[in-house]
Parts: sequence; C-alpha cells; structure tokens
Amino acid sequence: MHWELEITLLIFGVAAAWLSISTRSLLTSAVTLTVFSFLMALSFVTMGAIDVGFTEAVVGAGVTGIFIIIAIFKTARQSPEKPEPRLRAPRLAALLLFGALLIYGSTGLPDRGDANALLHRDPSAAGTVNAASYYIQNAYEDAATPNMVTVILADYRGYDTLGEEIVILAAGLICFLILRTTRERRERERRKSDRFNR
Amino acid sequence: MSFFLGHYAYWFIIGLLLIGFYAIIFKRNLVKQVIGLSIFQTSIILFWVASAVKWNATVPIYDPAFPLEETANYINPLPHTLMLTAIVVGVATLGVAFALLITIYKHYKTLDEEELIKEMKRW
Repeated sequence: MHWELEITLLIFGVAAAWLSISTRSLLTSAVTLTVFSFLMALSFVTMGAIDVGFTEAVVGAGVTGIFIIIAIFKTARQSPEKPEPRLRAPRLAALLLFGALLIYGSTGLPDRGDANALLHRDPSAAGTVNAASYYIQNAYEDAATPNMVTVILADYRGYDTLGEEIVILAAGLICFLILRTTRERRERERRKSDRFNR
Repeated sequence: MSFFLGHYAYWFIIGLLLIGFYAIIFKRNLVKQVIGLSIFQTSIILFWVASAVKWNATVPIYDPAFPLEETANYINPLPHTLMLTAIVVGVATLGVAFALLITIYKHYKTLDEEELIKEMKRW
C-alpha cells in the first residue's frame, strides 16, 4: 500500500528482533520482543490487514510479553555469557543453506500486489471459482456484515474457529496440569521434610 | 524497480526467519530459543499478510463506493482469516512452552541447554 512506511516499519522490526535475541538480560529481551510484535502489528495494518493487526497488538504484543515476564520471574533473569554450543560448523551450514534456499525461492514468487497473481486470480488455476473472490462477492449478501474477515471467520469457516477454541482449551488444560502437579509434589516434599524435622 | 517493489517485503521476511532460526539453533538458553520460535512464527504470519496485498485496493470491509463485482477493489480476506487463527494458536502453544520451562527449571535449577543434557545423562 505505502511502501515507504512499510520499509521503515520492517527495518525497525528486524532491528528489534535482533536486539531481543542478542541482549544478555532476559527482561530486556522480553520488552524488545513486545516492541517487535507491536511493530509487526503496525505493519499488518499498513498492509491492509486491520483484524490481524488488532489481534497481534492484543495477543502477540500483550499476552506473549506477560507470559515471558512471568516465566522469567519464576526462573532465572539473566542468560549468562557462555561460549557458543558445540557443533558450530554444521549449525552454521544449516543456517546458510536455509537462507540461500529461501532467497532462491523468493525470486520465483509473483510480484506482491499484482491482482492477477495466482493467489487472487479468478477463475483459479484449476478453473474453479477462487474462494477469496467468492467470499468478497457474497459475504455482505450472506451475512449482512460489512467486515469480510469476520464473516469468513465466524460463518464460512466456523468449524475452523471451533477447532481453534479446542486447541486453546487443550493448551490451557495442559498448562494447568503441568503447573499443578509440581505444586502437589512440593507439598509432598514439605510434608516429608516436616516429618524429618520432628 | 518494479521487481524491487514486488519483492522487498519477502527479503525482510527472510531476514526475520533467519534471526528466529539462528536463535533456535545457536542460543543455549531455552527462553531465548522460545523467543526465537515466536519471531519465526510472526514472520510467517507477516509472509501471509504481505502476499494478500493488492495495490490500489481497499481493506476487506464492504464499502458501497467500491463495487463488489470487481474483486481487485478489495484486499484478499482469506489469508487474514487464516492468520487470525494462527496468532491465537501460536500464543496458546507458547504458554505451554513456558509452563514446561518453569517445570524444567524447578527440577534441574538451570535453563542452559548443554548443562541440562549433562544433568539428564547423570540421572
């Protein structure tokens, strides 16, 4: 949409991401990761994805930051300066191979923003109606809601969203169970040490 | 110039992917590795959102000034919907990762990968 604004936000985003993994204090790392998430939310809005920007600002920048800060306060606050791990050369080779493959792949992608790219073309490559065009043309008529993303999320792909809720429920239950068993064990150990002291 | 305008976002995304991958394979602290995972995830979301863009199109909210018949008027809403789901699921899995980290720290009193491997071999 506005490529100057996009480039500025992306440069700051890359800088914040690099800062967040290279600093030694984990608290600084958490804060810069939040900054990175918020810059990403801004660039989503610049690219026209308002709903994704909202969600990233609330869930990505807010909740992730809170999770990391809770985890840091329950564990160690510093990541002490240690030598890099063993097997340096194969890891570096994997990183470089990954980057080279990605750059090679990106040259084959269609130009961004081209309305005739395969992703947006109607009819699609298989000769059928493009799903996205169908949603754009029929969403307002079918659900009387102007926001197409909401209509797809709640009406056309409602089962998808239901599955997402099940994943969140499962994740919450897993967190609860993991942290609960440790508390029980701590109480058992305390009782044991009480018995010893008596 | 048009090749640059059509592809620069992909190069930034590749940079972010490499930063996340570097943190996952090179950092010894497990919290740093999870942060790298989060950066990796966000850059994939950025890729989907970036490829949904159409130049000179409006946001996917119905506006009577832009006729619906011409789909080039509206940005592709389908990747946005899929990424909404991905962000929320990503944060849920991140919560599970941190719960596991807290448990590991209570057991072994360290979050350093190599020290953990040494401790686990001793048991």
